[in-house]
Order: sequence, then C-alpha cells, then structure tokens
Amino acid sequence: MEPKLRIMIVDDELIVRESLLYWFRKYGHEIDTAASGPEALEKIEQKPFQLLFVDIKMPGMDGLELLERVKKEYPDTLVVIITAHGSIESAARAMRAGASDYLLKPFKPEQLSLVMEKILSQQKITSDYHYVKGCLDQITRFENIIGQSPPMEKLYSLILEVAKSDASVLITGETGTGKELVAKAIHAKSPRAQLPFVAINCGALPDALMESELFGHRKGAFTGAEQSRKGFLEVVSGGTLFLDEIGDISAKMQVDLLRVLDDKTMFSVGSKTPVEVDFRLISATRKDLEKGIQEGEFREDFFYRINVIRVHLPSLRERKGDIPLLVDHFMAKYSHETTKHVDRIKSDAISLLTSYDWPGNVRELKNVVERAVVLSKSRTLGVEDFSFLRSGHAALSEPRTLKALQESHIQKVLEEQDWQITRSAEILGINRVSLHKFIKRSNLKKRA
Amino acid sequence: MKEQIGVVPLGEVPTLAVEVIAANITAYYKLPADVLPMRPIPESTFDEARLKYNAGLLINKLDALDFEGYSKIVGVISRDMFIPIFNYVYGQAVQGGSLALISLFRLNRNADGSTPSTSLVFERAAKLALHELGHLFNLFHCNETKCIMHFSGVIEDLNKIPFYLCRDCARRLPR
Repeated sequence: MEPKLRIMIVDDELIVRESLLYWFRKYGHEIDTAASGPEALEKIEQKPFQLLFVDIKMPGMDGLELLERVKKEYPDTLVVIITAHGSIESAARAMRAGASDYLLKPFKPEQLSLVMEKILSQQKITSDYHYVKGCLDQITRFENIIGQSPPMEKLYSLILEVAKSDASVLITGETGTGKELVAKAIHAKSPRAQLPFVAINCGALPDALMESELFGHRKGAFTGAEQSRKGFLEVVSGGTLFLDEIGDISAKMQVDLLRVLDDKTMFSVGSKTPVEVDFRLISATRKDLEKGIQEGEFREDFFYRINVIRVHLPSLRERKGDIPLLVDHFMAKYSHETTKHVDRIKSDAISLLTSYDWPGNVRELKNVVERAVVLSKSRTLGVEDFSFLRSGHAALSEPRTLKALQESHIQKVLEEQDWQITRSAEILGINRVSLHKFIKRSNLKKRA
Repeated sequence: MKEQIGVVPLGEVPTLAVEVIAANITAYYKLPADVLPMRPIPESTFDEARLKYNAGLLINKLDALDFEGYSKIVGVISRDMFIPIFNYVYGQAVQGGSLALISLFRLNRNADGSTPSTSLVFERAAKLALHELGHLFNLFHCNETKCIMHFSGVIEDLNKIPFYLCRDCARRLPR
C-alpha cells in the first residue's frame, strides 16, 4: 500500500483547491486546504504537514514568500509550487528557495503522478533520516539516563566501573537528579543484571513496616501476621537491593542492616533460624550523612559499610548543556502520551529554561515540559508556555538557606549604599564592627 | 438499499461500448448493471477556452437528474473532459459517492498515434468504468500494478492494468 501523506493545498481559487482535494482523496491522503499564505501558516502551526501545493499568485503573501517561510521554519515540509503564470525567473527562485517541484497549471494527470512518486521517495529519505536520528538519540542515552555533558560522560564511565565490582554503593545528589535511574543502570551493567532489582523507599515506610518488608515474618510473629512472608532481603536473592532515602532509617534499622551486611545472614521477624542472603546493596540519599554522623543521627560504622563507593550525581544546574536534549526527550514522550502534535520549541523558550536554576532538577524539568505540552495550543512551545515558570523564577532562584539569604541580603544593602559601611550598618540594624566581621567571614566583595 | 448500477450514455455513445461496460461491472463486481436511456450532454458544461467539457460540472448536472432505483451511476461520454488543474481526465468520480463519469475520447488513439482495434477501445472503456466505480465504493488508488485501482496516467498504463481488484482492495470492498 502506498504511504499516506498529510497534504495542504494553498490556492486562492476555490476550484483549484477542490480539484486537487478530490484528486488526492482518491489516494487516501489526508487533505486540508488554505486560501492564503497566512491561513496556511496558521494551520501548519497547529499540526505538521508533509507536503504543500502552493500557488504563486495569491493576494497578500505570495506563494514564493510562503515557500521561503515554510522552508525556514519547517524544513522537513516539502513544497510543490503550482502556477498558471510560469516564468523561468519564478521557477528558478522557487527551486532556489527549496521547492521540490514546479508545475504549470493546468497539467497532465501523469505529471502530477510523477511529482508524487518523486515526493514519496523524498519523504522516504526524510523518514529514514528520522530513523537514523532516532538511533543516534539512543546513543546520547545511557540506560535511560539522558545527557551528553562532561559531568554525565564522567558519570557513565563511573557507572561502568562501579558495576563490575560487588561493593556497596552510595548515590548522593539533590532531589530529582535520577538516583534510582543510576541505581538501575549499575544493576543493569553488573553481573547480577539477570537477577531481581528491588527498590525500597526508606523514607516512605515506618520502622515496624520497614523491618517486616526487609526481613519478612513468621506466621504469628505479631498481631495480624496470619501467614509467613518472605522479606525483600530474601526475595532479592542474588540481585540488587536499592534503599532510597537511606538517611531516613532509624538507628535500630541501621544496626539490623549492618549485621546483615557483615554476616550475610538474617532472621525473619519471629524466627530464630538464620537465613543466608546474597545481594548487592545500593543506597541513595539527598542528605549530608557525614553531618548526620557528627550530629549523632547516623551510625558511623553503618555509613562506612554502605559508602564503599560514592557516586555523586550532578544537579541540573551543573549540566545545563543537557537541557535542550532533555526537553526534546520529554516533549516527544508527552506528545506521544497525549497524542498532541507538539514537536518544536522556540529558541527563546530554551534560553528561558536554560537560565532557570532547577532546584527540583530533572524531575522538575520533566513536570514543567509535561505541563507545557498538555496545555499548549500549538505544535511549537514558546516562552508563553512556560510563563508559570517565569513568575516563580525569581523566588526560586533566590538562596534557600538562612545563611545564604543573610549573605545575599547584606551584599544587596552594601551594593545599594555603594559599600558605605556606616550607612549600611544603620540600615541593617547592626554596628559597624559586626558588619566588618560579617563581610570578612563571608568573604563579601564589591561587585564590578 | 440493494446495489443496482446504472450505465448512462451522455450524448451519442456507441451502444456496444455501454453494454460492454455494464457486462463487465456485473462480471467483476458481481452487481446487477443496467444500460439506461441516453441523456443529452448539458452544453453549459463546455468550456470555450479549453474546448473541452468540465468533468466536475458534468457530475453536478448528473446529480440533478433522477435515477430512481439505482444506487450508483456511471456516465459515459464520447467527448474530451478536463478538471481545472488538469489538461484532461479519462474519468472522474466522487470518492465514496454515487456518481462517476468516463470519457471515451482519448481511448481511440494509441500512444504512438495509431488507431487501436474496437475491442481494445471497449476493453479500455470497461477498465475505466471499473476503476471509477471502485472510487464510488470508496477504494483509493492502489500502488499494486496488478489492480484495477492502480492509477493510469497514460493510455499504456490502462492497457497494462487488469480488470480485477488486487487482494487488498477486494478485501476493502464493502460487502
């Protein structure tokens, strides 16, 4: 069967639009028409067309101008120029501007057939190109992790190295950086790849439930334990156990897990028979565990046991070069899921997204693109589709810790007062000596 | 409504040609087809500048006529036809509609300028009618060269295509 195309006929004469419309319908192509250049552009903005038949002589924007606009903004769209007033000059200009063919009205049916044969082969080349591009896009991914910036290249090498060993891994990084994806990638590249990958979010489980989930229980071990149940440590059997938010587990659970890691055996709740366990542990946290040790919230011995290899994930701020790639990926994902034609993003929108600080990292970017795709009324995302981001932009870019806020405020007052210490100290409500000490301690400097 | 096809000569058309067309419709689509009385060609459909009949206008004129008891009509004309974007057309049909039209004018000449046998002209006419009728059954142009729905831009193409539908098109034919 012949491939079906989405075609638009752009001609100010109704009779021509209708003739071509009926003709192409006989091939089962999806046809739309426009009586002018601006109407055609409006329709292309709403959904993509693979082929346009454009009359040269139209009031307002003529066909050649429309051709140039289309080729500039939608280079994949093929354009055939049709005209009743052919000239070598206009034909040459059309071909130079990227027209696929040039037909003089009226033409013979077989001429149109030949043009369509040529168009379909050009279209096949375009499809093949997109297929190859899709394959190349796969190269920019590593086990579903997207990014080709230097920090990500380093991360991929580290994952490959880490995967070979069986040592415990601690993944650190801000929220939304993809810690579970990295844990899965390590598992997928490891010799345990064919065995289970079990993920538990420690922050979401109360201590008692966590114990039962990890170690399992015997029938009658506690009220409600009507049947014996295997714990994840047993279920994972030879695979990888991923404990997310490890910084949230209780001191008792740290001791219990430490014992399992040391002895490679465990006891189900209510059982006195040891069970041998074999798993690789990958933990993740967004917390500063070293600080937790100092404050007595986290056991040092447990920390050293889980932190044999440290993998730190860069924040999205540290790899802003990956933002266009990630946006493309999420745009394609949500266009597909919502069956909306949103396949383009304007450069100023990319600039806006790149200038944002992304405190929620890739997860936040994903949600932002999803929202923009769902609400977009055209196939191209623009700055206006991210206006909700811009309104919160300033607030979210501001310092998030009290110390940073204090530094930022004092710096601001100093700049406003041209670094006049006495005046600044008065405004801040502190004495000059304290302000001097603060400036020295925080290493504040006059901005250029 | 049960399918009943009417074959209508528009102006002077060889009687045998319309009979051959009706017989082939019955043979290949397994549908009853009758030859209906001749109707005059509406002269308002003649284009003075192009010296041909406008196929779109002819279809509109056919639409205004009463063909009671016939679900689909195939008009046959001996004159040359065009549509605004094409210099000429062999046939015209409303996709998924009830009216089609074929012209015998260009069937009387081979590509090399020689005159074909009468039987070959009738064979071409029957193929054209079967093709346009396929559009009335909402069949699209087919890429398969061994199919009556394959588009024939020139007369040699029409000689090459068979009378029958390929398997894919036959499957799409409404039952």
